[in-house]
Amino acid sequence: MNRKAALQLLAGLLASGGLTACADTSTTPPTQTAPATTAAPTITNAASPNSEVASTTTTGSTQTANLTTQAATTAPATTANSPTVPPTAAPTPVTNTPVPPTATAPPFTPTLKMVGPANSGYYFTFAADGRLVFYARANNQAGSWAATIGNPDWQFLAPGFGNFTSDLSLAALSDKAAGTTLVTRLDGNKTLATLRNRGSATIFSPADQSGGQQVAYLLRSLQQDGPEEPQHFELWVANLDGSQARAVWTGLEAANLAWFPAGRKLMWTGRDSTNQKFGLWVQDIAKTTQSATAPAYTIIASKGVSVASLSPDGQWVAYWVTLQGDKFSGVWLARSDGSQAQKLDWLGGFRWADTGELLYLPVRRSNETARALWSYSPKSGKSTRLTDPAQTPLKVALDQWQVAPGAKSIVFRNAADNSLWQCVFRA
Amino acid sequence: MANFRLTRRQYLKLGVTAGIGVGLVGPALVFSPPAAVAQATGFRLPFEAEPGPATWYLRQWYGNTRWAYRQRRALYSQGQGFHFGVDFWAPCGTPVVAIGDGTVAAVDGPYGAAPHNLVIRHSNGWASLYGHLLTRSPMRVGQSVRQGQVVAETGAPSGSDCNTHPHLHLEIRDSSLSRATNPVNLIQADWYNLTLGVDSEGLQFQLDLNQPDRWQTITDQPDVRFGAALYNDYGRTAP
Repeated sequence: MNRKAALQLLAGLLASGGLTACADTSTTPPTQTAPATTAAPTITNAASPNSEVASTTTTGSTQTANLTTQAATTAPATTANSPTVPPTAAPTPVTNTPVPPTATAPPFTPTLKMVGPANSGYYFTFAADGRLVFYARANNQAGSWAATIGNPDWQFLAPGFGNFTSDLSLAALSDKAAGTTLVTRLDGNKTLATLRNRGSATIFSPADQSGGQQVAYLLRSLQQDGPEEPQHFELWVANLDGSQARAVWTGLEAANLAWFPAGRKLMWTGRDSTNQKFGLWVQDIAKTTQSATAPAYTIIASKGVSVASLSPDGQWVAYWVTLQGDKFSGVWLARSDGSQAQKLDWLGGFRWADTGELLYLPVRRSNETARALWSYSPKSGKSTRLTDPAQTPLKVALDQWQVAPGAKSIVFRNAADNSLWQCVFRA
Repeated sequence: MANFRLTRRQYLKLGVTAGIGVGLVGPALVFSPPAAVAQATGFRLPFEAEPGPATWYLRQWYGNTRWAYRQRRALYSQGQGFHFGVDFWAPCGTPVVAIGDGTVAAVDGPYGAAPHNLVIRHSNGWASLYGHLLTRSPMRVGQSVRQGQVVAETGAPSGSDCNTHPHLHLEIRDSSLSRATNPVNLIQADWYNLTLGVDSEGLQFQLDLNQPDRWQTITDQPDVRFGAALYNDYGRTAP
């Protein structure tokens, strides 16, 4: 497509309100259907976000059956030296017997569509209401914006960069130059506190039983312009108005700070100051005051722990262990008290969904050109493939992807064009 | 709070700027340009083993990384504040192979990446530098090497932190050795796959809040001239 043609197409799209990127199968129902518990994508005329993958225009039951069969044999990639076993896709066995149309809805066809331009919308996340929150420059105004996918109206949230509560009522806006973070109530634009924390990323706790909220941040030591490592940190907590600010832990290489859902405890990765204990740490902040601190403790004591992520209900934690030999290196899952730790049988980037699933994008095999999205159930221990990389190719840049509330779609930065794309994988 | 609605003209402008048809927000059929393709240098990755969490994986990109930003006035002050190579995490002692045919130009030369480094000149005009090596490379200056030949072992920056920062720092420089360029654009590899999905500050780029669209991809990082002014002494920045 040349530039003129692209512009003509774009103008047509704007005039018509846009086109879906994938075929709407509801208008072309298959004459036969193949039962499948996993979503069996049909091949569509979607614009591929991965230019390495050619698209076709075939729909129909045979194709669906073939793809479902493929799902049974195609496992997410693992690296060659990994001792892991590919997860079981576990689709329902496919029958070749024609099945007449019924009132039953056909399997959902995952779709892809672009939702943002190239080189924009960095460090995006979702608000609880499904709006996408991101940093961008638009209309000569740089700042944090919120937008509903499919709606061209953007809402300007704040002129800075930072973290927000999921209801977008509060913001913690970092100002590195001033060395502060402003805790701001967005409705009314009222500053609640000015934290002198060198602009460190500040996260809000969920409301506790009494409705109170706190903030927490990892304060890097003044050695930030010094030697490469180790990096020294202090973990600080404070009330929303900045009162009761206190350091509750000191250590090295701290990261992955997260509140438990009840707003009492914090979890993070790091090592203690004695450089002896590596791992996943938890501390009961409700038991700390400015004069007394409940000691932090490790729930997982291991070198090489990184990228820990707490499940939305606070019951599970998923984390990486690297360079600790074949036996220990990989993606792990444990109860958030450290019990039932188990190495999972896949490798890849992961995100928790509010449904309790752990969604993941496995490392590709050499013969795969794009990734599929998979779902892992901590309860059953089973993986289910949600998309087919041949049909909805997910080539994610910089591990930038987020799960929408309700876990029916993800938004990701497409490595092929550096734009934000949405993949809807459930109805 | 102010609201902003993109006009049709702005849609078009964004689409033209990107060189593609773009629906900024909302469904759209688009044409995606091909991903950046590495120049035909014939260079390969510096390991024989497959990537994996127990073997090696990519931990820091070249360029405007978050890690480099923090170290812009220290470790990377001579490199315009950017990370002027790529970092591969690997257990100390992992064999390192030459990325291309060439001739050894320096062993433990004055090129940083302590405690030991190795420089190989290639016939296409580029030179590769392998840094933070565990021990002095057994190669001799002037010795010919073949692509894939083991030339060193991975180590760690201080030589004693193999528990925490074991990695190979790989640079590609021009023939003068005074300019570094992005290895991602010269080595044909499935780069995103090499991260395995293990996130880190080195895999994310620092935002210039006044120009948030600049230097945010793995291929648009500028060359580094050693000793020149910092690229990333941003007035407003995050995270």
